[in-house]
Amino acid sequence: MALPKINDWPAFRRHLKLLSEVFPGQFTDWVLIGGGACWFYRTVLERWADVDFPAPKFSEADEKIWLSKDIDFMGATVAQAEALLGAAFKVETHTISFRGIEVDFLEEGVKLTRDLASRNARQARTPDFAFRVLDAGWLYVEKLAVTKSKPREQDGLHLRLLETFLKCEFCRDSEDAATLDAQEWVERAKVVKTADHDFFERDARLVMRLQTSIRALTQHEHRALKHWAKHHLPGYTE
Amino acid sequence: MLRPGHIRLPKDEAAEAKRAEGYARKQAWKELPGNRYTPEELQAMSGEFADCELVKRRTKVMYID
Repeated sequence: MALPKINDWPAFRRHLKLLSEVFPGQFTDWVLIGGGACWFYRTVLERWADVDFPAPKFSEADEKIWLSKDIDFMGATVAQAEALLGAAFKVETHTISFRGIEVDFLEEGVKLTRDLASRNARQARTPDFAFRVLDAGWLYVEKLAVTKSKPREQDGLHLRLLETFLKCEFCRDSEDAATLDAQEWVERAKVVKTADHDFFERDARLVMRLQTSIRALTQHEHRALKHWAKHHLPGYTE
Repeated sequence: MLRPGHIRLPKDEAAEAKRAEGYARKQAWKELPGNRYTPEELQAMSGEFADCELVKRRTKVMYID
């Protein structure tokens, strides 16, 4: 059963915008997860065009399986979503159809709960609407757990993207002292390292950039990051 | 009543089997023609969040009940 075409050209963003317009009160509680969230981080990484951590290149075969057309959220139960969207949950697709969009509400992941997703969502703001997306660190944790229990080709691609995105973001954040939230940085680093023990050790570019940027921090409120680096970043000294 | 967000779903064998079935059906659906974006469609969408600002600080939620 192929999806009906609602426009000549598909646009993931247009679907999010439609949902935000029709459900303004509820949409802000939903957290974008899954492949859609990975796609969002991919577009951000491409825009950053970082020299050390460019968006991975994917083959034609990879691109064919990269993103499915359903959109996964956390933030409502299936029963709530059925009532809100005015349609029944379809067992065969694990989605609810709404104006040509296939929407799924996951109640739980391998690691994620609705509560965890809600507490670890970040807001993405476009000029015409805003949406919440699961923090890339937690998305990485969930994808790692999924690949261990139910290996799927697309999850390997999403993991590559998320790993690169996280490396890039850890560097960019630590290099921008004016906006750096050291507590949040360390918290995210702990989440990632707990799931992937040598994340901060296996890439020399990451280690070098973090060594340089963290060493350059001088403000008192950044001391948590310096403390973290002493214990977890190879070769870090003041 | 809505199950609290931090309470996990039942982990008994029957519940796990039901979830695994649902998961397999969803994956099978993804494999059907037309249910994934094509490389050309992804290319066309690649700049669609170019004007998007990603808020660094997480929203602090205060629970009052």
